[in-house]
Amino acid sequence: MSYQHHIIKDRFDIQVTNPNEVTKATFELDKHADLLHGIAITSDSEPSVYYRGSQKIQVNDQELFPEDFESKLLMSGLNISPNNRMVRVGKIATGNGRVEIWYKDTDHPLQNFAPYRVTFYFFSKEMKK
Amino acid sequence: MRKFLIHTIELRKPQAKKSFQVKLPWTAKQVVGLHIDIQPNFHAPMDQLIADGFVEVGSIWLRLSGNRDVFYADTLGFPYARKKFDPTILPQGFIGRDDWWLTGTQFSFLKMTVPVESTLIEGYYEDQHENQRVDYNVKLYLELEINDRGSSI
Repeated sequence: MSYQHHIIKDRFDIQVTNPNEVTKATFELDKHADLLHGIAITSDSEPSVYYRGSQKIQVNDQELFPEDFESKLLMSGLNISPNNRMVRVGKIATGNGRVEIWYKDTDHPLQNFAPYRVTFYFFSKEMKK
Repeated sequence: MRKFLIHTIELRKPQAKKSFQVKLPWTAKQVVGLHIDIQPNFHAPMDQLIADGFVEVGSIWLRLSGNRDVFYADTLGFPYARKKFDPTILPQGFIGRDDWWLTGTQFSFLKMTVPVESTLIEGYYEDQHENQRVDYNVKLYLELEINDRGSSI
């Protein structure tokens, strides 16, 4: 579903350069994106995000996921069909959507820190007029 | 509209017993999902954890404060320790230490329908260790259905 041609895909990157820090970033969704359907998280170091990551996400000041919501709950591995890898969030009206993300890196005994990138994908649809 | 609430319980002593309360927003209608995660704060060899009885680390129950109705009770453990302990009885959707990328099923909250009449959920957590080092957090995720005229999830 997330790979259908009429789905608008927005990609935003956050660089995590220091351990145990919160990185805040603000992005704008595509101007044609009217309804947000899903979110996916990937990284160039998947274990780092899986074990160490958590985030708060807001769309237009509406909280989608609260602080300390673990990133691993929003990730999908290769075991999941590509068409099912986004986390569905319903249909959230986003006209001129502004996305705010507070990504928090936290020490974990199973994964040492090395700088890594976290990529957020937002899947939206254009409302038919 | 759906909203997530996260409550963290910190465990630092063996056999600790902790009562806690989770305050819900006054607009909460019902609890529709639940997930509990355990995060160790130190690294020990897995075989040692299992020998020390780390497979199951504690038990939890949750109840509504109004009618004292327990709606969830379970024993909890480190998932990757449980896998190494006995791989033949893996629960569906289990995620292992190094193979989470390749195995398991898509994560979803435990679905439930628990109408709430007050804004409090009471909980009780009991650690099961005897004298081993204890240093972990229990993270409780509640998915709530909220009365709201805004957008819906």
